[in-house]
Order: sequence, then structure tokens, then C-alpha cells
Amino acid sequence: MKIDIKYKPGFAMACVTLDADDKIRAEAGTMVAKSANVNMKTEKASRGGVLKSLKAAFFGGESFWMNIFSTNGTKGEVKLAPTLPGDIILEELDNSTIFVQSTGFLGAEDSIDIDTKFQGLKGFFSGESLFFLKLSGKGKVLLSSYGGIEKRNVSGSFIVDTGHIVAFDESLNYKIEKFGSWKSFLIGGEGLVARFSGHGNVWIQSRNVPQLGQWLRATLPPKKK
Amino acid sequence: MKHTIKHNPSYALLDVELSPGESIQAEAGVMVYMSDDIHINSILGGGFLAAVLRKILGGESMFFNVFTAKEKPVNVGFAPDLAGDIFKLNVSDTPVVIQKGSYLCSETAVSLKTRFGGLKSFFSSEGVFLLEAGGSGSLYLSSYGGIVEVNVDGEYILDTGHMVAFEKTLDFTVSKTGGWKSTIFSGEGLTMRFKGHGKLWIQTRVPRGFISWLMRFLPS
Repeated sequence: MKIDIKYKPGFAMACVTLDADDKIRAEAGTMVAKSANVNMKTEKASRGGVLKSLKAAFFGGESFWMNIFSTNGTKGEVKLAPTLPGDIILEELDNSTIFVQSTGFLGAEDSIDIDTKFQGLKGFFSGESLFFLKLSGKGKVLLSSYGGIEKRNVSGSFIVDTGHIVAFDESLNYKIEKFGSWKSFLIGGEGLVARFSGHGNVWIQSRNVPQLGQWLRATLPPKKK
Repeated sequence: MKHTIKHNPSYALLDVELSPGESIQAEAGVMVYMSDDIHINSILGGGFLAAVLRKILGGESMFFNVFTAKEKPVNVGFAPDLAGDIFKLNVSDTPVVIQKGSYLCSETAVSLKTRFGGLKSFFSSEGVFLLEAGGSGSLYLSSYGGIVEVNVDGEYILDTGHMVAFEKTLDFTVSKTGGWKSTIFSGEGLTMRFKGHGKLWIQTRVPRGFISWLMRFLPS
């Protein structure tokens, strides 16, 4: 499988070349185009029981269904793009695990296992989804961001605004906390932030989806009754 | 203080590296990430009365956050809400007047004042308040879309929504674009007419233009 990412960073699209036995699983609705010999099969998001996919859909903010693209022994191509403008990054997991914020998942090689992880109260307070998608195994993973995407190696402790998190390595711990002192938390306009600790990577997007929503709500005129 | 601007021009992100003791002041809510060893202080922007007015009339936050490096060099990332670019200006002798919403952050040696733009800016629909940056140091502004620098010598005319900032050596008036017919039907609305010598910064898109385009597709 060869993946070429074009039109970075504003409107990235992943061009996936599938060899004879390759399969890629993509978030529903992200296919732009495919060659005629590529087959698309719609399956549950997670391998395993219906419950696991339901969990991913209900809690992970993902679709219950995902599409699997494969060729029948020939070479083919499928192009994938997320809904929002922004970048795509390709990561190779080598028997490792990453956690991905719901809007950050675009696709993954079939060998990657998809599950959800409950964030507990942390998720509730972060204002984001209560669950992360848990991707593990060996193979290629495509992450998408609203805006640019930045991979940062954390060693020690690092703070990220919750709306800017795309993904992070399993080796990192995080907790949700207030921004600075109580005064800054209340008046500083940043609200809650995530503090990552340990050693590993965190992927950060350069724009914030909840903030865009807030701007739209504040700027659009109220609905006529 | 070192800085890097990445992911530009569409979704620019500013990374600032602060040495121990160095500070940077930023608009509330624009922090993306930061190192652990940073002290944060939240202050009123541009004096109490100006801050209250900014809040009530401009709909902006009354506060700025000041990030200071303690013992170690640290990094802090900033990005505006909307898509677009970030650029750096050096404020020295000439103060820079900024359209609200375009201010991202600045060195603490840069002083910020909220300035009432007068009735003329009320009609420009970009808000009644302008921010005036004086003192000396680096100032980072953001634009919706790309950013264009124009050297004005004499007169220059600009659609009000495209204005980001201008040097105080320039003076402006707000007027209609052409005749009344053009004002109503040309889709250009009101324009700013700048006079004098100095630099002017323009953004290539207008937020309210995007909003009015979007409204046609939204259910009422």
C-alpha cells in the first residue's frame, strides 16, 4: 500500500494505491473517488461484535459503519478526504497504540484494530467526546486535522488546549485541569486544558472546531421564529 | 525571543520560544499549547474603562493573558479562531492601529490602548473600537485569509472589511464607493479612504462576507 498526501496543508487529500491484497478502512463519507476495479464494502466500524461498533459510533462520535476498500487481485486507487479543511498525516503503527479524537480519524489499514476508550469524567469536563478511538496494531493510519497538524514529542509535561488535540500515544498520561490560577481560569478565556505527562507524541491541530462553532453561533443572526 | 510561523498561509500557527524571564501578552483564548514551566497572569486590556467598553460594545474579552518563562526556556503556541495567516510587525517609532479581532499577541514592551474610532468606524461595520499599539517590540497580527502589505503614499481606497492594521501616520475617512447607485448595487458597500504616508495591511477575505454567503444556505 502506497499513500500519497496531496494539497497540503489547507485542503489535503490522501491518494491510496492498493496492491493485490491491500485493504483500507475509511470513515464513512470520506471517499472522493476510486478506480473502477476497487471494491467498496460497508462493514461495522470495529471487528468483533455489533456492540463494539455501536460503542464506537455512539461514544466515539464516529459512524457505526465504515467502508473497506480492496482490489480483486489487481492494482487500484482510492482517494480520501475529510469534511473540514485542513491537513492529513500518515503514521505507521508498529505494534503500538494511539488514541484519536473523533474528528481526527480518516482511515487505517485493515490490520489496525479500532476500539473506543472511555475517558471518564475527564472527557466530560474537556467538552470533547467522552471517548477516544483506540487504534492499535501494525500498519498505516491516516489522521486528519482542522487546520495544520503538528507532531510534538513530549518528554516530561506539556499542556494543550483540549480543542486542539488530534491524537496521542498510549505511553502518555493526561489529565484535564484549569488554565493557570483560578483567576486566569475564570477570565483568561482558555477554560480547561489537557496536561500530558510521560514520553511520547501528541498531535496538535492549528485550529479549534468548538471555537469555530462558537464564532458561528455568535456571528450568525438568530433564527427567525 | 524566537518565533516560528507554521502551517501558513491558510491555518497559521505561531510558536514563540521564551527565555527565562521573557514574557508575551496574548488575546484571551488564543493559546494552543504551552510548556509546563510557564507562569500565567491575566490582566485587563488597555485600562479598566477601555476593557469594559471593549466587552460591552466590541463583544471581545476584557482580558489578556501574559505568559512568562520561569527558570527554563519554554514554548507557547498561539492561533486565531478563524482560518488565515499570522504575521509579525516591529513597532518602534510609529504606533500601529489595529482592527479588533486581528490582534493575536505582542511583547510586553508594546503598549496597547483601546481607541474609539469615532462615528466613521461605526459605519464601517468593523466595530467602533480600534486597538493602538505603541512602545517598541514585536507585534503579531492575524488575518482572515492571506495578508498584503501596501505602502501608501498619497491616497488609497480599501473596502472596510479588508482592513487589518495601518500606521498612525495615515489618516482615514469612511465613504461610499462611487455614486449612490454603486453604493447600493456594486456589492462594495463602504470604503475607507486613507491619506498620508505609511504602511497599510490588508486581509484577502472578509469574515462578514463569508457569513452572508453562508446565510443563504441556512434554513431560516
